[in-house]
Amino acid sequence: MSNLFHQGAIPSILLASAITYALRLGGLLLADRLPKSGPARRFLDCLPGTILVSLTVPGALHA
Amino acid sequence: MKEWIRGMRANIPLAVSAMAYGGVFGVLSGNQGVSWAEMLALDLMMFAGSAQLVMIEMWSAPLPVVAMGLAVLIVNMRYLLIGASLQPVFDGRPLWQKALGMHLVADENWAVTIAEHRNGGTCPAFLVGGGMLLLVAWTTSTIAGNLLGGQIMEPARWGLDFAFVAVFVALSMSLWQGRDDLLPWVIAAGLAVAGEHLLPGKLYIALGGIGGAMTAVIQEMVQMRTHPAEIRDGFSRLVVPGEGKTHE
Repeated sequence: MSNLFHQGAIPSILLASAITYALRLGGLLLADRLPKSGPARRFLDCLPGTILVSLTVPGALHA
Repeated sequence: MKEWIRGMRANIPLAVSAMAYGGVFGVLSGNQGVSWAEMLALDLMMFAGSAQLVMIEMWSAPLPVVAMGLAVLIVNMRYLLIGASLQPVFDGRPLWQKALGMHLVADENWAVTIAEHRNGGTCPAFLVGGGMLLLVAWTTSTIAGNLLGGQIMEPARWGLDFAFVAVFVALSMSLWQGRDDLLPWVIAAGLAVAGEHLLPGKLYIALGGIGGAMTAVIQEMVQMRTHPAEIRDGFSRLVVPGEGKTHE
């Protein structure tokens, strides 16, 4: 075991995994509580497009 | 065809791209002294390429647990928004499906699923099928790279990087909903490019995503105030149910 995991590796991996999962599930559960119409709906409707643009454009400019 | 199989098939090009990146990344992890067991644990439990890259750059014993946690929080903040944007896909589903499905959300299968959802609807199984394929592709390629080291050829990566961008551009096109999206998208792109230079990690994605979507909300409020009738007729999908009647 000691050869396979460095000192601090197990708590680091557990903490990082817990944070990442909390963000993924937390976003979904928060959105469930938002109103299904009005400004909050428009915000969520537009979000996929704006996230994808933000993911793509800086990388495309480097390429 | 079963939804999860359709989801897998739709993600094949992106999985190939992820494997190329994963192979190079696996070699890098080996050079940084990350063991195959540590890499496997990160692949399966965290399943987030850019955050794994940041952690691996900080990998020297004793590991800085809290600093790594903070770095991962910054890099993965976008998943809060990505999770929120999947609300229509999981709408009305039981909590266990949400809890299991959300672990398998990567940038790639998220984008494919949202595009599919806009073009006629989808379900969590489509997302999960894509996620399983990506998890297998990511895990096998990073572990192979970690164990085999420099025997993997790096130049093969370049053409695939371009393929990755091309696929994402194509997906962006399918998310386009009309000219009301123009200003929010331009603002998102501007904020992301500026944020990349000014903010740590991948916070620029959250900045662009939130800023662009906020622009859409403000734009709609301004339009409602200046041309209420036009909005009601032309963009009925945006109008609050029942609100139209009270105006008549």
